[in-house]
Amino acid sequence: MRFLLRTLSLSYVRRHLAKTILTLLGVVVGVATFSSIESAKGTLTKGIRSTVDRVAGKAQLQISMEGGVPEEVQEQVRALPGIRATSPVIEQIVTPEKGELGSLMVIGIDLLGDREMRDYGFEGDDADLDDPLLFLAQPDSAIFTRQFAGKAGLKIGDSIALKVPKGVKRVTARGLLTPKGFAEAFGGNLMVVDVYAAQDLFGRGRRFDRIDVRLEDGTSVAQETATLVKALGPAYRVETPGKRGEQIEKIVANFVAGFNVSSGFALAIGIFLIFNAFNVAVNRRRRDIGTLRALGATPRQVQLLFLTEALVIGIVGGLLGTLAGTTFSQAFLKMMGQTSETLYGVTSSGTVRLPPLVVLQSMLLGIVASLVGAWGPALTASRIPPTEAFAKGAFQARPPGRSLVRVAAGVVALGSTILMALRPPFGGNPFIFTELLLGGAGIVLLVGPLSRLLLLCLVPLATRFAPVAGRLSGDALLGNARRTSGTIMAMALSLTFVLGLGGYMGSTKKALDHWMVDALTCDLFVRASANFNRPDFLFPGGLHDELLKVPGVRAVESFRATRPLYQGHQIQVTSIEIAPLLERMKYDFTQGNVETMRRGLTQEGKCVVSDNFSRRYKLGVGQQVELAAPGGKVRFTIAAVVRDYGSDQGTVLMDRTQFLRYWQDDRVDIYDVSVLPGANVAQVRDLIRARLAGRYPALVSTRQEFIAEITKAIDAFYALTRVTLFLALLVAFLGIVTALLISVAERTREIGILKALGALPAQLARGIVLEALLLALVGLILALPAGNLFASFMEGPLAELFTGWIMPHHYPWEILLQLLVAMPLISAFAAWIPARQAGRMKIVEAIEYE
Amino acid sequence: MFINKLIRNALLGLTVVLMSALSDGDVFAGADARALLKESESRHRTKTQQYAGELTVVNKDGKIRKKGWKSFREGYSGDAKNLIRFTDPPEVKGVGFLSLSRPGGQNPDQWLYLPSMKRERRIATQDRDSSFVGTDFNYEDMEEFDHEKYKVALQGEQTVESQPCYIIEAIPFEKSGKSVYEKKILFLRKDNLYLLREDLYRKGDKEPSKRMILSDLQQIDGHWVARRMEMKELKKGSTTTVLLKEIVFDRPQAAGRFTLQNLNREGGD
Repeated sequence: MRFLLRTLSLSYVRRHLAKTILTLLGVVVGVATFSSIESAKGTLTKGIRSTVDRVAGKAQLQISMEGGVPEEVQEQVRALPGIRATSPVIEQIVTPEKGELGSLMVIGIDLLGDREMRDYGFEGDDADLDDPLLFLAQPDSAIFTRQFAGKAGLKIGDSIALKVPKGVKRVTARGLLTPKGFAEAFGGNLMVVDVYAAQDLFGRGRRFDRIDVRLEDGTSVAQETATLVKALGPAYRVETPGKRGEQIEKIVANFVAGFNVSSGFALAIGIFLIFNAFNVAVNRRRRDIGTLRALGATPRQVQLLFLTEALVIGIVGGLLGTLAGTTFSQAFLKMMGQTSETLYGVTSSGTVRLPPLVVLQSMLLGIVASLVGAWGPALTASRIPPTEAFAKGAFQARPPGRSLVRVAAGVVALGSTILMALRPPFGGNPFIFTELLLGGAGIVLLVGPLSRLLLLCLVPLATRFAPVAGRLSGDALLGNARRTSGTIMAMALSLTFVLGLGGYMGSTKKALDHWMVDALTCDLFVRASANFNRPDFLFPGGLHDELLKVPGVRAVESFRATRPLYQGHQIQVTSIEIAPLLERMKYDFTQGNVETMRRGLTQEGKCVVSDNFSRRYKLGVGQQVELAAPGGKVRFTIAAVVRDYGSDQGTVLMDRTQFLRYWQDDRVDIYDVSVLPGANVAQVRDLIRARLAGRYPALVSTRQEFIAEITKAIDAFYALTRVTLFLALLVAFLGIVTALLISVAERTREIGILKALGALPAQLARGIVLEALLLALVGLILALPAGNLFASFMEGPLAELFTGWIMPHHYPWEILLQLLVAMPLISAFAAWIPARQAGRMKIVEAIEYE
Repeated sequence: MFINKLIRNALLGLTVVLMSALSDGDVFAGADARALLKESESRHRTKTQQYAGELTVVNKDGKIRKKGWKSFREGYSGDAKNLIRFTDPPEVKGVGFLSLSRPGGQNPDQWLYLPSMKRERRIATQDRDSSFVGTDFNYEDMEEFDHEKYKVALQGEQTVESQPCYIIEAIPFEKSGKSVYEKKILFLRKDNLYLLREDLYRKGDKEPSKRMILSDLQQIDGHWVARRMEMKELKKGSTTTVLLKEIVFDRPQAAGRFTLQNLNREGGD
């Protein structure tokens, strides 16, 4: 085998180095996508978990509540039996004015009493706290890790500007932490402040984000959890730091899991490239195979030879892909971190380290992808009889497989996919997996025959416009059906992915745009927090009357959103003054109407739920939603179901009076301000800003600005998806280049003869470019219905499974238009190297070529 | 009369001999220690005390931090109320500390007031071993010593700073509020029963973790007072010294001085 590899395989690689490199690149891109996404994902979730653990210190339990834990709860908890110590905590992520320093995690703790909780002292060897009294007495005091201080060039007494909800604020370094344990949380980008200063800094009022609890020796966690739950009521979450870490990790993992689809697609496309390359290699080396068989090589040995080549490509591609992945992973981590921070208010900071498991998985994927891609061609090679191997051209001209059976199987597979999507027989990941498998199989089976059919129609058309190039390209494409269908398959898959995912993104965006136009109808939005999903700051309820007094203001509504757990999912409970809201807002009702909503919410103490909430929890008008309020569980009857895109886990909306009654919390996220007719919105905004300046965050946006900011956040969410779309296109591009290079190499003799007969290099080049254009066009035509199906699947059954939403379908015309412009350019560019190669070919050498 | 007294003393002596024969020596020694501490308390009890303190913290590296405060006390030992208000440097001016004894030997209520936050914060039991604003005193050290909260025993005698002293071991009763210390060794000057030194043993420690030394004894308004108070963290190697100035005893304190309202009052003393 070693002899065969050295003589046959190595010489083939030498002769076709460019093709081998491109085949290798298919594996490299696929593996690099996988390994970079996996390692970034791992670093993000591990970083979040590690931060939770490190900050938790000796705490065995953590008490939290949506909207914050009131201060007095700490005394209540301290008085309970089995409690050794409690410590209030506020956590917030801020950014220094110097953005290059990265996000900074601010932890507010009670420095007077924290020594019982953290494995860390704020004096002595652990930290250099210059003057504890000064630290407590001055609200701008902060302790930084030595690592961060070094990065920012901070010494004790120096100050640094941070972007906090109230604006840019300078804090003074009064202590430095030695990097170990607690100080290593958030990758060392940590700042410690006094918890009471943090309350003021981040508008927490007299509340903490959570209370860490340490138990007396001999008190079990389960026993104390029960005691605390009983004492505090259902609105409080009592959980171990591990459980809390797990939950955060789970939320983020769900978000990043979506990128597995992207890496899966990249690998699948890579497999087709390998399949194509090996298929062609088998054809090109038929004489070699025939010679081998004639000399006594068994079919098994021939198959093994090709599989060994695939193994080598898999190993080298896997290794290079893993290495390439490490360079992309940091960028991926940054993007994932930013998105998870925007969406969930959690992120981690740090450098991506490639875990050995990811290296192993990436290598295995590379190898498996290569072997899977090469398996079919290797089997074909082993079955070639020596006599047929020497009969040149007979095999190439033979169309692949039994078309009818193949088409029938493809139609059945695709039909089953559509039927299953319309009426899912089961749910969860098995459903998604089955759908993708059946859909993929259907496309794979149908692409070959359909592409041939399309080419038979398109080639005469092309010949009419460009007689020489059209005929040349038509011969090349139809003359080797296997190679052509393999390339088109990779191309169609890439474009299906692009159109499907792009279509889904477009539909989601369109639905959200439509909803925003209907929902965001007031003139100004006075926000306390820049983050839409994590309140960095909350306004006091009393600000409502103050804003109402601003000249030009007609009405002010107080919007508040909390995110409690409902049946294990983090839903959104929102409240606002309903009566004035209904005067300006147009709801899209799926159950009930505006009257039932008005009466139900303002007079009968009922609630409204979003359509996705209704679908997820199978609750409709007249049924009840049980919510955990600080005073106990409260049941709200559903008055109406409306279309709402506020939360992917479902929204419950109630009148503000109900929220105040049961939650006893008057703080506000956003004041919706409507101005008097004829009043200048910009002037009113300036007046509001002036009134809030220095006291509260002054994030005042007009309706257009607010919509633009939300749109920007949505775009940020899809930024990563766009990267993966680009990768899919890159693989498709590689596919065209490989196919064309192979095509030129295979037709060396033919090109030589054509040149001898007087064909000009430009004519040959045009033929190759047209070949590329036809490949791309057929791939695109096939991808149009497939991409539409894929988008429909994601917008419908898949979105409903995860969010309860069914997005109205919107065809991705924009993407199609972009592809129609980009694909010819990409194809022409991809054809450039092979065309040059053909043009430079020497007639004598070409004719001699075997 | 004399005979009666003689008989009474003889009977008392006999009882003591019998008791000592029936029980171990500690009980006897304890009774002595208690008497000594009671006597000490009655001798040094004052209605009120106020002074201006000069606080110096020297850490193990020799770095020095200085602060100034005013201290007011009403009552003594188990019924003491204490207010400290920082006066210097300007960055910490107004920071206040209030400690109010509670009946039944419970741990006192303590609060720290920070003017920048305009609010007081309660010192929880769990925080009693935390450093008092970066000094070598903790919040428990800021309480008045109340021998009623300890099981006491006379351990012997020793000369401290050329002064013969009684050595008394004080072990906190767990039922009367938790202490951060396992035991305290008190050195009481024999002639005036004034506390000269206190060795403090944290739980589980064989050696004293902290030592308080009172020196520069003077008589002011007929009361003995140490004008220098020094607390050493023996393991950490840091020392906090308080120099007492402008000491005044038994001056009536303003009504409401030892209240939370006063603690939280801007510019309140």
